[in-house]
Amino acid sequence: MKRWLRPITSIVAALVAVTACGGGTPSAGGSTQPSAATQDTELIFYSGGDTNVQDLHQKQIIPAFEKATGIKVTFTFLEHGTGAQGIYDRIKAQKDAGKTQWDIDLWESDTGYYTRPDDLFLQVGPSDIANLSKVPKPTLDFVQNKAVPYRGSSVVLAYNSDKVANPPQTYDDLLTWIKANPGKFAYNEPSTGGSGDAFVIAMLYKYSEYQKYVTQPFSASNEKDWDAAFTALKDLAPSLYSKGVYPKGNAGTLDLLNRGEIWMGTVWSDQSTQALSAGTLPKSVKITQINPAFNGGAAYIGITKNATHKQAAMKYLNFLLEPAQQSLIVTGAMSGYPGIDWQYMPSDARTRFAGADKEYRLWPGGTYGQDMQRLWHEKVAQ
Amino acid sequence: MAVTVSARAVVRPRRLDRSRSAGLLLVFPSLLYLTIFVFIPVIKAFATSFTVRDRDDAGNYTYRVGLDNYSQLVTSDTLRANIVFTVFIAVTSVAVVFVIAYVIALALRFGRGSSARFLGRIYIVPLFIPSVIASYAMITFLANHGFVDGLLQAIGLPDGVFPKIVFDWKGIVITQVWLSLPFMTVLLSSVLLEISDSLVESARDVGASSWQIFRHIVLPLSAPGALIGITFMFLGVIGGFTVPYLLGPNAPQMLGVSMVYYMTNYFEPFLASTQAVAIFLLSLVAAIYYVRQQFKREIR
Repeated sequence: MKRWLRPITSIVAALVAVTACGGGTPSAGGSTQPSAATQDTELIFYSGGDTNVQDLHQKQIIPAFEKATGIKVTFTFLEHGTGAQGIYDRIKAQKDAGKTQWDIDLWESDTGYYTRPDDLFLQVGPSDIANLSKVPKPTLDFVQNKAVPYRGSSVVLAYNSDKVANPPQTYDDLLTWIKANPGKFAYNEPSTGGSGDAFVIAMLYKYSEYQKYVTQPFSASNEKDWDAAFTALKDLAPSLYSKGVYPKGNAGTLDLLNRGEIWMGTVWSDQSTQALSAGTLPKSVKITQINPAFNGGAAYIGITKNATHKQAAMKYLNFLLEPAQQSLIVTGAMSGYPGIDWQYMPSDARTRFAGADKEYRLWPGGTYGQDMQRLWHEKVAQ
Repeated sequence: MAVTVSARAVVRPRRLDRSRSAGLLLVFPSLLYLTIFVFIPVIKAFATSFTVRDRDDAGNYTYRVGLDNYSQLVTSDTLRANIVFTVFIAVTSVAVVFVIAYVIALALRFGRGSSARFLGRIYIVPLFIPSVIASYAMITFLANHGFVDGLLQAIGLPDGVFPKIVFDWKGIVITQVWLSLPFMTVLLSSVLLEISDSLVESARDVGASSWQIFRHIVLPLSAPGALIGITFMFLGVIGGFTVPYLLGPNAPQMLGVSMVYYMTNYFEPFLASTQAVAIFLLSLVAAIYYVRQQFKREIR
């Protein structure tokens, strides 16, 4: 062998040895330990999203959980869902390889991942996580119990209380109000922000049956009901802000409310309460929820089917659903809705969303969402 | 004797070869760039535009090859309106910019006062302002109950009289004009600089009026260069996104905006590609014109 090659080969040999050891340890552990460990001492948690999600877990929930249980949490955070598909593939690869102990226990990501046919997530109920009994059933049904909704947000009705004494209670009331107060209501262009979509979706639910969308798989024939809804939306245009100008983005509606251009609009619960706290919306703006409610959505965390630390994972989710932790989500910077029903929440948390501390309806999105946005542009936009 | 001739004959083509390979080497990076970022995407978009997607009731897709996407461009009221709107905005913006830029360029070329010098310094400003910033500035400036409306109301204009400019075609045109003015003015100024003073002065000496000088000397001599500027601006406006997205109406949309909506919101990549081809074809008309003008110039 040439002299200059020697150091390189020794490095390569060392690397091979290291990787072999690294790969060997978990599988050795997997074969010796029983899968249902009675006393988990650690928890592997992968999450993603905005930095406020990271702060919630890393700075608030995890330290409190570690203190309360003595379980060490290893938290890995990927901002804005970068690499979500990569994490999913990593879990799937372990399933495909027939491993019985997967190296990710908890995963927080987009709702769609939990119900994919690959079946990578554990179905849970109140017998596993006691506090699940406090969670509204539809949000659990929505993911077939394969993930736990722990926070949410909903579209609500924001109104200028200086101008509107009695805000509408139902969607029909709202439509009557809009026609009686031309130019004083706006919802943003659906493709540009979910609070605008919600106003349109509420109209779809007025002319089509809600249950078909949340309990059944996609069926294009349901969209036949939509024609009447879009006609009604088109007829509403002359009564809207600037005779049918739809602002761009969720912030567009908030801006019009802030400038006093409109007296009422659909907004996100978290964005509007944050804006109220920050003073970018005047105190005269209040929020309320109609009955039946506008749609909202929950953020979920799933336990992987063969999680190494299942007990610890369930303990964490149960801890997260305690009213004390749920209050952090509601009253903190996140301004979220709780995962559990509002009735279990302490009163100081409820006052933050006074008038809108109600359950929300769901919307399946996906193909329905794409079609709704396209049809709105074809039939309503002007 | 015979030997030297053959030696020369050998040397010459070698030199030629070397310069040819050097030329190829110099062209290679830009050719590679064009291939990766222009030719391949264009060919891909063109190919995808012939993919037709059918959906069954359960939402499953099947794919086939056909011309359905193109027939939709014509039959869909929304898409047809978008195409007409795009051409309308492009033509209007270019026409307005051209007239204003020409006047400024004339003032810069022939004007002698301090106001011309001041104009020469200030017209360039929009060139340094990003289109997003300019768009938001225009919204606060021109919106109903915005800055200008507020100012006019303060001096007595009744509320609600101020026209709808923002979220309307007027908003797009005004902002495009504002953004494109420096470029067009620079271009027209350089074209006008090419016209020699002696030509203008000799015309004046034989008694031509300012209008006659403009009509028979300045305008014809600046026309070829001006038309190239028009082509460039047309190409810039027709594929624009930021300004029409932020300032335009909800419908109709310019093709640049509509394409993004079809791609990301409606999940219709094939219809989006078809619209890309439509923009490409519209641009092609302008591009062919530009190439022909350049060709004519070279012959001259």
